[in-house]
Amino acid sequence: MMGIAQTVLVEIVRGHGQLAVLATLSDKPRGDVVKAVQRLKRRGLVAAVEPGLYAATEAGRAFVQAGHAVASGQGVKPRRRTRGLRQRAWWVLRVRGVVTIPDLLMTLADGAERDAHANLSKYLHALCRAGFVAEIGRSAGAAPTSNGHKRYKLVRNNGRQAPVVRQRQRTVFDPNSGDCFDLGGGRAP
Amino acid sequence: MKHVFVKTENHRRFLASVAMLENRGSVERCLLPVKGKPGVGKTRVVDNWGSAVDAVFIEGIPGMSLRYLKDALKAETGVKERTGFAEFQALTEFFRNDGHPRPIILDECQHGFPNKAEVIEYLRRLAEKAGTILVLVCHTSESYLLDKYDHIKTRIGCVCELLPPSLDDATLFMREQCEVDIDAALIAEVHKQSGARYRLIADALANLERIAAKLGKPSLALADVHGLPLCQDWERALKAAPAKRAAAHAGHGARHGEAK
Repeated sequence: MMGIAQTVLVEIVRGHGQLAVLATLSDKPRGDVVKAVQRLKRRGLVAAVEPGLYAATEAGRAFVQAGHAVASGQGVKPRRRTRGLRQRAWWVLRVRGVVTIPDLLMTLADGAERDAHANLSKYLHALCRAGFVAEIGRSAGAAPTSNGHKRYKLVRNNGRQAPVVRQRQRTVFDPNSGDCFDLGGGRAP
Repeated sequence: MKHVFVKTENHRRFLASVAMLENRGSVERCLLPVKGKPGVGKTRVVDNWGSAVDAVFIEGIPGMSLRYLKDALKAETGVKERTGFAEFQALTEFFRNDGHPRPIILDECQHGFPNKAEVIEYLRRLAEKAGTILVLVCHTSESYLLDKYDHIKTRIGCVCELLPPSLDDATLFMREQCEVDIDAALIAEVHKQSGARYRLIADALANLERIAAKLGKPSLALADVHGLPLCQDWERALKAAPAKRAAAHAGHGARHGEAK
């Protein structure tokens, strides 16, 4: 069974571009046909010729000829604005130059994350082994028996995108340069 | 201490200001000055938001010029164009980000005002063209500079003033961060001793945890720490110093006069 957008697209490709005709052919209310046409327009499959008259674009014709069906989730996904904790930690690291894990947690972790401390600790440890950050001593901790908190200094700042730790390959991928660094510190082959 | 970001009233105030600018009618009113006294949490609030929206962060430094700003922007954005027009176009495209504009943050924005505020003006044009927000962070004492130039002050969409924590805010902060339970009277005492500054409240919390560990108590009341200084307000001590010196000097003068 075809959805209304698919029916409308097929009819427009056949040359029935008027809204009233489309409503009759698809046996749907005119309002639903308008919404379907707008959806197709946003996806670049049809274009308005004049008010109330639509024609298929090249992409629309190719879409139908290829036998594709209009469904949700096929369009280009917009860039996500909310970032993962590691990407956000990389942002703060680039801004401040030197960070500790408590610093990062007090800036980024609002309690919604699952074990943010372990996540950041593993991430910074991997960055350190791959040569993106260096440990530069410790800052004092609040508890009387605390060993303090490790301070991490950014030493390889290749760009905005956070390095990706690939546990299975034992490498850190830098999306800014496209290079892979192994967790021993050298550049991976 | 529990290390967690606390969503204080200042955080809500900042997000409300951003929302106001995002829903503004005129694109040119793209400036969002964020001002506040030291220790009210400007850096933390702005970094929390900036990292979430992938803002471009520029730090103002003394002697900052337009050349410096352009170099900093190109380093941040990866734009390689060298000629003025192509450079500006490429930067605008970067900030437009395919319909999801990236905000710009200029920290210590008071350094952007020399030479007819050319740095602020360049960023303002960029933000306007890209349809994004320019957040200007500065101390309250420097915010008068924003009022100096008509072409800047008329482009302000909203002013966000981050305030010292109220008692409610301090209560939220302490309850979320402290490992030991603290009663309301003790919270009020910390709020008073800290002069309502987050940095000093954090110092006091660390001291309270040490005291609780020493006493072997899971919770503390005001009576447990009565009379103890919980944090050291050096700013207040510095302000008090000239008065004390003057009093001491007057006392010395009087004694000297008596001796005569």
